[in-house]
Amino acid sequence: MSASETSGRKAKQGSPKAAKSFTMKVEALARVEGEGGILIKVRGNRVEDVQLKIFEPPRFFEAFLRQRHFTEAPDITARICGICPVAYQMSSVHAMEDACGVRVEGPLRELRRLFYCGEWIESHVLHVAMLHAPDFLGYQSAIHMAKDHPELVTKCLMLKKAGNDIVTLLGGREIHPVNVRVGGFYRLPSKKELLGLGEKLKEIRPVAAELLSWVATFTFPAFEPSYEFVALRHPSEYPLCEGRIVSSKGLDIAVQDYERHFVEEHVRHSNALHSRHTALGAYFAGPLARYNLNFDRFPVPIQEAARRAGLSEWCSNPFKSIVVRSLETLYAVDEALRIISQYEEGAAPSVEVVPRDGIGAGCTEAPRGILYHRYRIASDGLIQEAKIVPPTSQNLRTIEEDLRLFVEQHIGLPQDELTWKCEQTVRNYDPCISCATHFLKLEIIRE
Amino acid sequence: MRDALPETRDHSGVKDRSRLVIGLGNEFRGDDAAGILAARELDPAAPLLGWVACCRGGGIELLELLELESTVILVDAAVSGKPVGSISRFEGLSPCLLADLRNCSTHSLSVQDALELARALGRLPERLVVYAIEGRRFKIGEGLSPEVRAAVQLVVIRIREEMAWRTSKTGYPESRKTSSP
Repeated sequence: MSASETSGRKAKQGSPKAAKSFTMKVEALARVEGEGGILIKVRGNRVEDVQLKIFEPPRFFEAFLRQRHFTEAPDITARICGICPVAYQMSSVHAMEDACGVRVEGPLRELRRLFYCGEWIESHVLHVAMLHAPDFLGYQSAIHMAKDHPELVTKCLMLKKAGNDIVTLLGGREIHPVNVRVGGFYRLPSKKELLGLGEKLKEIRPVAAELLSWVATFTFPAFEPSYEFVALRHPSEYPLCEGRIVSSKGLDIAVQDYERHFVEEHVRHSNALHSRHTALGAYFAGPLARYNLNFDRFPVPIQEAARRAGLSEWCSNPFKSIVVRSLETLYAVDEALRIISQYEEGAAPSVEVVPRDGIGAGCTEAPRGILYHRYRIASDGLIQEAKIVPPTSQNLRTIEEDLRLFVEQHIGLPQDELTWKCEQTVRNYDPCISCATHFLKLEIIRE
Repeated sequence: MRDALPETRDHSGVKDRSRLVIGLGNEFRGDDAAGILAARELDPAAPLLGWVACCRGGGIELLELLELESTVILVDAAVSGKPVGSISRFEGLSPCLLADLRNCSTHSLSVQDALELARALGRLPERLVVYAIEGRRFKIGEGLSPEVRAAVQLVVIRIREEMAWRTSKTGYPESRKTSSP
């Protein structure tokens, strides 16, 4: 979006329209990662069609992983996304270790959690502060918002930088980290390096708390559809890398059984596949799902912070995902500090992983939701088959259903306002469209 | 897959942070690698130039790299309709210039938005120079066009000259400051 000399606040235009048919079209979705658009056709008071169009070109990662060595999977899959490479690396190494019958425990497991905390912080803060918050305050973009709130935006960039610093220390660099391997890492940070990082995190923690307090003051549309939330659940911790896959409708399965319950389908209007639960259809992955299914796994201070932010133990309003992302950011800072304080040097950087014929599955909680990888490898270590299901493609059907319901409930709004609210509805999910096409034009046609 | 050398973004021990050359782009997207390659070519000369950085993360990372009181030179691929390999050099931070710096991708904050955000936050450099190299192919996995590869070498030479002039008393020649095909 181009800069403007005005404050960038959008004013309501015109009076609410009498119910009539129309088509709403957004050519290119703004403030999302990747290229997508929306087409909504309305006839009278009925929404006839909703299409979240993904025209990001297909990227064929599953195909060119074949015949690559299994040790290359974290490096190759990291290239799927520049914002969530850690998620791809973690899902891939867990899947490969599953195929080879290896579990990574102890300090290496903790360092993986720390690594992931870094990604949650930088991804969540980028979305909350730069992409989503402007919607709630009536700004066209973060640039317009920054002119009125320079101090807060500066602090958010510092908080994001802290997340980047975690990823850089553990991963070697923040974009497409190079230090991750099947079995662990190539190099471990020293205790001294971690303590230095810890000092930065202690300094920045108040900013994370301030971010949560700020977003909690936003006004949220009354919109609470009934969803099936799907997330990982671990016996003792808020999920990042491990757990069973559970849902709010009673599903409780091992990661290895994912494909017995979830399928991907082609749709004409999208280069990204759509996922559905074979039993119940569309489902909802991401921060809201993790929160609802794992609130009891938060440390008590985080539970208290959630209540102070106006959240109950259950939240089904997708517009409040910005509050949950901010809460998860605060949790990630605290979890990172815990891991750093308890870390003891001395472990080898990785465990040995010997390839064998077999299939392995891994599922970790990317910032946007569960990210599933499954590989079949041969005893020579070459990948025979790969399947990658990103969280955004799992949410596409739910996003379309949200749009349908939201337009039906707000059909009388002026066109400009309805269009913006629809874009905001999509941004509730922080979609990573380039991931979804391993993968906003909003067009609303009133007929 | 794994770089043999560390990235050129280590702040520790850098004595001179008043000059900054930033190569922007994505080395896996054809001609979009131009800026990154230019930065890598310049990197061995880093002690002379002060500091060189690669920026793959788009506008947010660019914002983090900008220093308040520095001369910043950006190198990036461009699409403007000029012949492939054309080199354009822009000086100044005028609104007109910034209006022309539109992103060709919807991935992350654009260069224009990053600079406007820096302006809103009071973080613009004192002086900004942009070297734009006209590209043709930007698909994943495509290699660099030969014309762009040649242009990268020429831009590297010009930046070295420019930074050497910056340390001289007479300054960069006026004849070099305008756009060139």
